[in-house]
Amino acid sequence: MLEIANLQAYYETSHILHDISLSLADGAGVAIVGRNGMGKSTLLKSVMGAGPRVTGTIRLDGRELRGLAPFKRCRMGISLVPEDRRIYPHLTVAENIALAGHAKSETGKPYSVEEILDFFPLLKKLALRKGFQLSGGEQQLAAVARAVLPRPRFLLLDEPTEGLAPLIVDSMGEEIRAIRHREKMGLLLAEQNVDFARHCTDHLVVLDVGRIVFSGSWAEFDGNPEIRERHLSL
Amino acid sequence: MVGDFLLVGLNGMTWAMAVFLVAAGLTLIFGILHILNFSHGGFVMIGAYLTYTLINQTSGPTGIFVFLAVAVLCAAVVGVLGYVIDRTVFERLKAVDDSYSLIATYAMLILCEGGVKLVWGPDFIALPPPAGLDGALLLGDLFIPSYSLFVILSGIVVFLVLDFWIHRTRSGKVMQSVALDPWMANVLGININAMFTTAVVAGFALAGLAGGLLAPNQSLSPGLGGTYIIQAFGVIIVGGIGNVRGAFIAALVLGMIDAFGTVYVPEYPGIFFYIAVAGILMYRPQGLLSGIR
Repeated sequence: MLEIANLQAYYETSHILHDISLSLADGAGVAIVGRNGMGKSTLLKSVMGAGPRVTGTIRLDGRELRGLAPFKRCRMGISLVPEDRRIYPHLTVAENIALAGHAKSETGKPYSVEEILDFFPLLKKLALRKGFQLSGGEQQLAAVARAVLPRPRFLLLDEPTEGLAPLIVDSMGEEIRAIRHREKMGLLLAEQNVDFARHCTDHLVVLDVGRIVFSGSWAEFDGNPEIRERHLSL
Repeated sequence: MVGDFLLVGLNGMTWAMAVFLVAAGLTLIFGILHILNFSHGGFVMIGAYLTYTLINQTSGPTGIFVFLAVAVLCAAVVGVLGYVIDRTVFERLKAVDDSYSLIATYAMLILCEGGVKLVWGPDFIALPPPAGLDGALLLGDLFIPSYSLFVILSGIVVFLVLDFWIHRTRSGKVMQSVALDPWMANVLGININAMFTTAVVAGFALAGLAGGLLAPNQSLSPGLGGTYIIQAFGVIIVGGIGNVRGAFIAALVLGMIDAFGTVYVPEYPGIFFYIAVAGILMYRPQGLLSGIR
């Protein structure tokens, strides 16, 4: 269980997130939707401890995470795929993925690189290609694959569909769903692509200028078209 | 004529490998922490003085293996000093402006010089090469000091070991990744502070090793640290700062230019080093190679 309560996040003196509370049961999928600059990335980075200054509580199974370095949170079972992917250009796809297994994990034995490549068949033929030789979509897939390697309990994905071709978006959606269900992996997905988010998660929260303005299931969201109108349309 | 040519080349090569030994740890630490450690020469000097003291503890003539063992021991001691400095000084430099690291590491160089004066005194000290390296090889009519060959070989071995570690081993690749994008490495579960500390300890151990291996090459004095650091800086800047391969190539290029320059214009010994550094940087301000390699 991942619980976030009364979370405030700041960059320098700017107050980015206001009083965020949400919880994610094991295996649950929650999408964070909202327009650009509403604090979606900041929320994921706050959970990882990788950027903003944060107050409030972030607990994993009741253990307080605040104050722990990102590498410790990763070893406790939280994986983050950042918006800019950050695939290492000097390493091959296989080496990039293997890098995540370097950390001793508390969540059990990490997957082998071979198992991961089986989950993401598109990456199989790219395994020996260097990071700098990949297209944006390939980098995104590799970044997701890398985050899954340590067998995280909660996967945090930051706008994985941004700039990707529809075909790759579809296949990535299928792979994420499949891994989630097989591994009972929780997913916190920051996304502007509502269809993709709906495909991968069961619940959603809508962020507007750093505050949660809606929280509920996708059916409830569909029952309140004014939410979409007011907070998501451009 | 050919003999003279070879001899000059050999001198250039000896200089190059001596400076590379000093520069290796400096460029490694910069490549990973982005801290330019002015005190590096000071720790090379401490390695040299420690070697002097330890060798004088042994009775009778020192053989090559004892000499090598002493140099490795000095590397370990200076590596431990590196650990202490990482915890007390470098740790605090990560979050502040670069100018602070220049001031802090320069202050450490002054401390090294003061410490050496306190322990070993201000006078010049000489350490003869160990038995087996105090002679010369006769190659045709070419007279080659065996200690020069030893320095050349040491430089090449240190380069090959470092290069293999960075490019071929898992821990070397992790180190490269930490250098390139520490934020992502941290998010991927890598304890980046432990990696930084490892790099500092390795860099300082290289300084201690260089000091030990080069101790018989010159007279030891408290000003030695400053002398080393200028040449080493030239080499790592021309090589592409942070890049071990670049430092190795730059040391060879600068060593040869300086050696041959000094032969043809003997009035200004050493000036060709500076001319070459300035000249190369005019055309390649980023250095010959870049990034940690």
